[in-house]
Amino acid sequence: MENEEFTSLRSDNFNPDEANISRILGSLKRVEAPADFDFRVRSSIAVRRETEIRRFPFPAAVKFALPLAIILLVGGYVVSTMYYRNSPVEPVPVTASAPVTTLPQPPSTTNGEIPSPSDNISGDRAKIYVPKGIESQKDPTKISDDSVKPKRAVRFSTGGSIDSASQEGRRIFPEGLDPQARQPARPKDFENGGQITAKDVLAQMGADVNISNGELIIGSVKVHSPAEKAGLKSGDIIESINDRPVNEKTSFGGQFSGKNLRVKRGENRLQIDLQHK
Amino acid sequence: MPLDKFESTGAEALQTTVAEEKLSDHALIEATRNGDEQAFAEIVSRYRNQITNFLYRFLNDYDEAVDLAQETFVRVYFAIDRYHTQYAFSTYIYRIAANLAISEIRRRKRRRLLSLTGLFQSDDDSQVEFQPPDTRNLPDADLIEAEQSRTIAKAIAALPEKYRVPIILRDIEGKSYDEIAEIMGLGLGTTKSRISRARGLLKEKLSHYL
Repeated sequence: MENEEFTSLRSDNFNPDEANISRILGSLKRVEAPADFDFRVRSSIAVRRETEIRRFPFPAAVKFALPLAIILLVGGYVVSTMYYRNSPVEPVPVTASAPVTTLPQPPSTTNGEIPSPSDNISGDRAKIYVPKGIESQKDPTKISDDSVKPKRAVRFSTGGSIDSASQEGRRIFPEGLDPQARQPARPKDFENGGQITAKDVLAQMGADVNISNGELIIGSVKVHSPAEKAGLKSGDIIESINDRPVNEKTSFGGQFSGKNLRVKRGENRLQIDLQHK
Repeated sequence: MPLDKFESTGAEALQTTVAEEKLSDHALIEATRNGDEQAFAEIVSRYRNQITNFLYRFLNDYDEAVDLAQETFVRVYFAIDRYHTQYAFSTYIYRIAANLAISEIRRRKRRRLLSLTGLFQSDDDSQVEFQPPDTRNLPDADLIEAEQSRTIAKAIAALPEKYRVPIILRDIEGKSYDEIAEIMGLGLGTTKSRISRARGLLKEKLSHYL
């Protein structure tokens, strides 16, 4: 300690310039705190203590967790409602637990009417579980999906529903031919033979298509869907997809990648590029 | 006469007055913790001038220095439960004041970066450079001294923070190297070399006063 003090003394005195600077700084006039300094300190303390008391009485975690939980609940409800309401094609889960080939067929009634699983069925038939999409695909007597799918009155939504097709990119697969599924279904299990039709393509883009006189007419376009982003509107007539003229029977093989559309809107013809939208 | 001895007389005198008081800093803090407002007032009155002077020399702005000195005491008050008595209180309060002053300097720099007027106005310093130096002797000695201390204060305030804190503590506040090392959280060697470097920098700026 003494030694250090000694070195510091020596280092201060060793250089006369440093000593001079030291002396000049030491001779500077000292300032003092103003007379009301204590009072001002006390009042600042009082003010700050007041704000401490007025803070949120619950722990900080509750302050954030509560609104977050409410937002998540409401948001989750809205998103799930929008998603199921607007999805034109019900996703078919093809997994090992529900193999397509071993599904029991729903027995027919005498008048040929097919009971859907959502109907009130009594007895042992009530225990048969038939996935909706598969039932409609397998059953040749089925007329349309509408009796199975509950149709909602509202087709357009203003909510922030996220379309699955837009998230997964441009690749579109035929219904049930999802490569993500653990056990891929065989194309012959489906009525269109695993081929993607023009209607499938547009449905995956989020556009509902009506067919009349062999023309594909857009019925409605989902909000925030790729179809809406591409600029499709209700009433547009789709003339070609990927430079191929289309009708209700046009198919695109097992996989489809969207490039362009030609659309007739009233008197005008539009070319829509899908790859940059 | 060794310079350090000469300088430390002020600090020693201060320490003797503290010793004469009935209570030590730690006892006053203990009393404040137990809700004795009078004890805290005593702490404030012991340190207000030192802290204000230190901050004034650091910032070269009296009003700002007083504001920050107040803030220092407010912080001490609200953090008093977390204060460990193993450190000297004088070290602790200087450390708070120095940290506040450094963040204030940084805030000022940011503000200056954002200020639009800065685009069109030059600094005071650069304006001075365009004026021809007045070499005549001023008639009034007080004026000369005032001018000199203004220049010195400006020179100190222009030092980089890491040199400004130790040299003010050493040459103006009369702290020992050990205390300064503890306030700055640095080793003794680093502290000494910074003080020496700070003096060197000041020497360049104040060459005509030497």
